[in-house]
Amino acid sequence: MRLPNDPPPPADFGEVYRMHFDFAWRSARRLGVPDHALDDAVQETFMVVHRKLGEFEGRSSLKTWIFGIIRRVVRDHRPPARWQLAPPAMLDQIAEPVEDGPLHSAANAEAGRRLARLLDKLDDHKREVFVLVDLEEMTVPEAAEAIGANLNTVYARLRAARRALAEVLARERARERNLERCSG
Amino acid sequence: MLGLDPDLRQLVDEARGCDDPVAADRARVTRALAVRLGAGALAAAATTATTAAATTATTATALGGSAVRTTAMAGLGSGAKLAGALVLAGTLGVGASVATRSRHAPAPGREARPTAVTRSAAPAPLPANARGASGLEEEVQLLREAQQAMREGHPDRALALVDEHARRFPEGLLRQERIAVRVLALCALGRTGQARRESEGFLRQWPASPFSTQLRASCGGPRR
Repeated sequence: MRLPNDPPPPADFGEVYRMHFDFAWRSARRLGVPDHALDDAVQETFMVVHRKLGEFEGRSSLKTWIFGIIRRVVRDHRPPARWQLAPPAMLDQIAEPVEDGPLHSAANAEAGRRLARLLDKLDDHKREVFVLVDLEEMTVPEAAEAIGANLNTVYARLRAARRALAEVLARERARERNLERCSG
Repeated sequence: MLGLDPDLRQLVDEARGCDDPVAADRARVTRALAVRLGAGALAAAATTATTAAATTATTATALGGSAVRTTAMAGLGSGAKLAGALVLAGTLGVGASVATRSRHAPAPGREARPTAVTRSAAPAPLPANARGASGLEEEVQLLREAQQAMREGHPDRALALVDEHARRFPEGLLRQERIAVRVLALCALGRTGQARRESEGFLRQWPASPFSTQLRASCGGPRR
């Protein structure tokens, strides 16, 4: 189902790549791909997109279609040996010394790290729903389309994810307050 | 429906943007993808680049050096960054890759990758000042193949490729990259003493290089 505000699907791979690179990168990272493996995961995602773009019929939104590919790539490529061992440092990883992304403050960066740690505590099903709805700001029907689940299932996973994360965060904050009180 | 807990909402808001890629990520992945897909697929997207972006990226390429390239990329407007990256990919590697593959096109069913031996019959070394963008493309291509060989677990082949780079481009613009890959290949082959000697020479010459940290952490780094 194409959503009313979706633009018609671009037929050109370069355009699809340009429009969705950031989304693919963010999603792979939020689904738990470690930094050293992100390049591979995103490349693999777009290799599949390139191969299958001709089969895309526009019955879903392009974004949710691509997410479906990302989640499969992430799962297929997540055996511990491949993702957890850092590869030897090589040209691509070490040849780009200049960072020009958003200039996050230390507080923002810490928030990013904390959120990543929290996401690691969710199982894959809850994690992907939380990522899509609360981080990517998709609607629940869009998220359901992206992961191929029915609406009730997605609502249930979202509720469970939010509850689990809120509980973990509350515990962490309580522990931090305790530490501050004891050290102060 | 359970809403988002206020603390969690605040954390999500504060973390917004932290997972976004930076231009260097886009450029790196785009280059690698362009090599895997061939010139056609990504080149089309480059047509959306502004003339300024294309000129900047191409000029940066001609100047060479990853820091220069990336700095130039950082100077592009945000909308032009990816387009710039695509131009960069086309300029840096895709053309050279395709040309190389067609020159070495094997008979069907035979090993597709050109060998270092085949390549060693290639042109003699060029002086640094006689090379333009095409020379740099060849440098990039050689080192990319060396890197790929490392990824695929063939450090001996990687070593042959960086040695070829050294023969053809002794004063090449990507000398640092070459030596970094060479040290890692030597480590992978267990030639620790040689790796350490070359790494020490590198660190004396370029102590603040972006590769220094990696080399210090490799088998060629200082003894602990």
